[in-house]
Amino acid sequence: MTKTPRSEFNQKQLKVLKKAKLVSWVTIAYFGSVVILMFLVMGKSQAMKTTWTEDMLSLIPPINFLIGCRFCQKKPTQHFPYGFHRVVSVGFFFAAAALLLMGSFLFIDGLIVLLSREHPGIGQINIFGHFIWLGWLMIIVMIWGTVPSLFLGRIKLQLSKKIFDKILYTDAEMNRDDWLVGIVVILAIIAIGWGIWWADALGGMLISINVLADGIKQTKESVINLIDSAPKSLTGKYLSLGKRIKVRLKENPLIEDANVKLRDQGHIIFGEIFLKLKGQSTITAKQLNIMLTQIYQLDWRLQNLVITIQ
Amino acid sequence: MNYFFKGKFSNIYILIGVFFSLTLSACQWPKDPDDTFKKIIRNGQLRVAVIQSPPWVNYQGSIVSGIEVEIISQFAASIKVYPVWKPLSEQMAVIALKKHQVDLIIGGLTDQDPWQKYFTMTRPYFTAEYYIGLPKDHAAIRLPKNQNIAVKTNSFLIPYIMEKDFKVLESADPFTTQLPVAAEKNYLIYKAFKAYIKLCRFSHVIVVPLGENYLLKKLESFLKHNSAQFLQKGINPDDENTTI
Repeated sequence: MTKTPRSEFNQKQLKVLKKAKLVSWVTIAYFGSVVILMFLVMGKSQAMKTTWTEDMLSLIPPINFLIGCRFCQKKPTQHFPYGFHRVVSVGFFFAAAALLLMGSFLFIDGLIVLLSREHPGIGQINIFGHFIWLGWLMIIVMIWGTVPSLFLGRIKLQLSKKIFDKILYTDAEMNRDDWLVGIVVILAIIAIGWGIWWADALGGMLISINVLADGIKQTKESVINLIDSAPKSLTGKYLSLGKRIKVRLKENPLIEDANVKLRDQGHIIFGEIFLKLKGQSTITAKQLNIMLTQIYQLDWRLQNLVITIQ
Repeated sequence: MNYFFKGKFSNIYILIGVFFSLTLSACQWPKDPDDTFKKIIRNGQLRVAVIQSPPWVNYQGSIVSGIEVEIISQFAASIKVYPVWKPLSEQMAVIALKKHQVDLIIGGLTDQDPWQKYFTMTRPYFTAEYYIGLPKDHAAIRLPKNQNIAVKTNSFLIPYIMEKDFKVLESADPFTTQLPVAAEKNYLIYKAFKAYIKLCRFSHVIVVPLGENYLLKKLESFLKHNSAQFLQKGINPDDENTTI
């Protein structure tokens, strides 16, 4: 192992990382405020209660990201020779599992409330001597819980693509989808005002289905990643990187055949290349290094390739 | 910002706008899912389950009196209906409410009621704080352990007093015993006592059927503007309240 720490990222990406960390802290503070405000106004509304739980779950990805950042930059040790890059993948799994569990729980809870036909009682609240219907406050808090989330989601989406962070990307997607949750809850509250009591429980169930669907999708992606699938893009498509490396290698006159195995290591990609040389030819270390340098230029994520001559 | 005004977003905003304008023009907001308030007006009757709990509700035979009875009588008058009192136990009152046999429940119920998942409560209209008090002109002293505290016979405050390591003296009129008295704060002040040691507090509510938000709104507005007059003298379980 080298003594100097190997950073996954170049200078430009480190700046992006710093910005992403700041945005994560802002996200934590923001959702913290939303959780507190929602707790104060949610009353007995099932839709609000489900959204409150969902917003608490929204605190997990940014915390995950910040922890992942701390670890992924650490240099490899004797006991962890491959470094700590995969902490990101593990963190993603925990977050996905939390979503899956909570989504299931919220769904069952919403179903029980709907079947027990509980009418939500929403009364007045005293604000500086004036009585206003709590439902209006709920709507205001929902707007606060939705609109800034959209902005944060957009920023995080752009940042995540630059440093290829799955946690940040997924977090951004969830934040961006918050507008739908906001609409559902606002409509549910207005429906309660209209006397349509079941709209509340239904809204709660719809939101829980959203959480559950996210949980299922992310758990699936995370497990596939943890069992060393071939690397994928942020959107979940398998990369053609392996093929491109193989084509590049075969361009070399000394090489008859090449096999490439790549695996995801959080932000970066490690891999093994198996070369079959033509006839009795030999290849020098210098030639191998030149070859490797060319291959590393194919994608910034390629950072640790091992070549085996068969 | 262009992001928010693309296709699907503008449709959603229009939908919300339509809902809001319909809302504001609605005559009853928020609406009762079971039309409880409308039925009360239509029938000209406000059916109230009453739970024996002096001084909040006190019934002797067919004569019903108490602080909450007076409040609800005035409320009924304000919406031009006639109150009908139905004495029931708490459990039976909750069942009657669920089965639409009564419209309200009164009886000294607090926001810590164990049945609350079966009904909706108004915001507390009065928070009763109970203290141990000494006569106003008495010098402020630290009461010694095992000091006798006078309290009304069979008062619910007894366990709270004993938790503070004091002894209890039950009396028909605790204020004549020359001892410190445990009672409701406003009543202590009314009797020229000063409240010293806090024992407990209870926030009193009126109960409406689960989710009947318009009835809840009407009642809460009434309570906000009118309940104070009934509670000026504080709570004396001995008080001879006006009979209805």
